[in-house]
Amino acid sequence: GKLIQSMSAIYRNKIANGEWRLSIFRKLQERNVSEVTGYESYTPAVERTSWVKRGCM
Amino acid sequence: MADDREVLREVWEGRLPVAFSLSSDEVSVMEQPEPYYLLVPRQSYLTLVTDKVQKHFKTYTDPDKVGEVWFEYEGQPLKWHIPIGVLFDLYSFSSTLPWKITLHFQNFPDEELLGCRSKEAIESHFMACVKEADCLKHRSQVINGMQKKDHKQLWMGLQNDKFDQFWAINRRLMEHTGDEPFRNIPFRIYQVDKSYIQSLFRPVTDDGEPLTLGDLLKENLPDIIPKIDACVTQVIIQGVEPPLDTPIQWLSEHLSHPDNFLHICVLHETDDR
Repeated sequence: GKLIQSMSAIYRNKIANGEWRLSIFRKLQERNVSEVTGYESYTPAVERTSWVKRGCM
Repeated sequence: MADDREVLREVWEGRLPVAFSLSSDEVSVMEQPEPYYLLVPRQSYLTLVTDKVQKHFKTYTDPDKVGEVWFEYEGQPLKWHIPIGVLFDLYSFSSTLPWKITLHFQNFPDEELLGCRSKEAIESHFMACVKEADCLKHRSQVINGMQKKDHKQLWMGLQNDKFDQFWAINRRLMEHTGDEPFRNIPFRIYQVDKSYIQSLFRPVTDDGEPLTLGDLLKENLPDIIPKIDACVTQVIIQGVEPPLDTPIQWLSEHLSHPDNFLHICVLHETDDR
């Protein structure tokens, strides 16, 4: 059981960390800046403001 | 499971600025209407987020000729059932923003596009993809263990752009029993003017070593690596070029679209884009 557990931990570590992770994260951030900067005035296709309508009977 | 919330957030936050125009030969008034500018979620579907655009342009076209709406980019009809970000990466990657899309109400190209008469059609397609993906990952065990309300919450999370609502359910679809990787990776590889590629691909070797994006590409497109090295081919997922040594299991967990598929665009220098 312990051996399996430690193998799992090694596997998780292998696929959860690496230079590729930081590279992808930075590229996603850059993507979000470059694709939205200058277009903030555009109408959002999906309104995110959440509000609850309350009424009394 | 997908536990890198920072990455998941960045993926979810993807937006594209789009300038929609009504096809000039469908304008029934004296002047061509101005484009309609919209910021659309990369993860969503064109026919799901364009109600405002359709309503706006309908007033400029002959009501007797209004049929099913469809979208086109430089002569290329856009498939509504492919996520918006994938369509952009495939046909317009690196082009100048805003993305210029033409809207049509006439001459629906039914040989090229699936019909989409209602939001229910999009929901059905979306859920079919999620189910197929779970069949590949977990032999359908997770999706079949969910209730109808969970399926609905996934859909509503996507439709209303609610990250927490969506991921509260989707995290279960990204889990694997006892730290076992997925049985197979749900993925599709797109290239301009070609059918997409989908095959069975396990994320680990028989010895349990993690396989990478490069391994998946080599298996499905054997001559691709020299082309990438020569910078004549680019591989784009979610609008970025991931390193080829990225474990494919991690990519599947974090960069898949809400339909649970990893959509991979392979762009060649020779593509007419």
